[in-house]
Amino acid sequence: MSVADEYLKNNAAYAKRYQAPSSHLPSRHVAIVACMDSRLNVSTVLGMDDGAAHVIRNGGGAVTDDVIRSLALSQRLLGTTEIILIHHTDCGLAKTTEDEFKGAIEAETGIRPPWAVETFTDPAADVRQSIARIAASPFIPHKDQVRGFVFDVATGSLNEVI
Amino acid sequence: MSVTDEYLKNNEAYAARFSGPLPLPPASHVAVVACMDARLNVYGILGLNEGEAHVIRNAGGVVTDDEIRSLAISQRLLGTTEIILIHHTDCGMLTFTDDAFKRSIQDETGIKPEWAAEAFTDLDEDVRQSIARIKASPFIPHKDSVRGFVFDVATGKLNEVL
Repeated sequence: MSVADEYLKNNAAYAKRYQAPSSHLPSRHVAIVACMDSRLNVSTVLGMDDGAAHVIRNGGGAVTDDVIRSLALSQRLLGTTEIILIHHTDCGLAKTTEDEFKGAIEAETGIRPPWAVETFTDPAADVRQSIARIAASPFIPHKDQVRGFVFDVATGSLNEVI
Repeated sequence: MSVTDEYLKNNEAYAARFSGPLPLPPASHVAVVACMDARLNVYGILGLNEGEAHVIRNAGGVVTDDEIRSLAISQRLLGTTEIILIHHTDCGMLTFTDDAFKRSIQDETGIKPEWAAEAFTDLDEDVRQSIARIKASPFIPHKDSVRGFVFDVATGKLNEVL
């Protein structure tokens, strides 16, 4: 049995107690951009209710074009106005480099990925980089409330990047 | 007080009961790719615990280059081998067209986004499109277990796309 099959059993139990949120629009008008890390359960880290906020996640929580796309849709079509960025300590993307990761793929497949891996060395600096990319984007209308945090995987605390 | 400030208070309570840290690699070797929709609590829907699976999310849950990047990192650096895709009913991506969305941004800002908005008209077809993009990528090594689902926001159930 694959893990997916196990999760489908869990879903049957979830559906029995499920209460559908009343609207497709995020009730708190917030979009979260966070790392995909398995330890980062965004809903519980922030104490969010279902239906409250969009949750956008990728490797590193980096603001790529796809995150800009998602934020543009979130704000322009679905009414969010506030953005919260969450990176974290002990991130996999701080343990490799662009050249090392892309070189390994090229060595194995013969093809070097045309995209940046978005590795970094300092999570706080990477949060500032992500905020700067949002601030520079012409496609995101609401930028007054953009705040970034580093989640400490050892303590569970969010530490704001100022 | 902004929503962010309220969530920071919630995080203090979360950190007070936090027991970490968990290891970096996902224990179930799974990566989930899901829509950012506020009603989609991926942890609840699948019965995921912290530390089990990567959770990658964007508008639509579509597989873009940023998802390929994230999945490549997930599999090559952090040992995942199984992929679960989750799209959902009543998705905002069903309510507009790429042309109209990009036109509205161009009218307002003078700049046409260089990225696709990734709107779609049929949920099952879009899940199949996402699976096909994963299968076609040279950068993702493990493709034997890639399964796609449509989450029903009215019932909480996952329905597999075959």
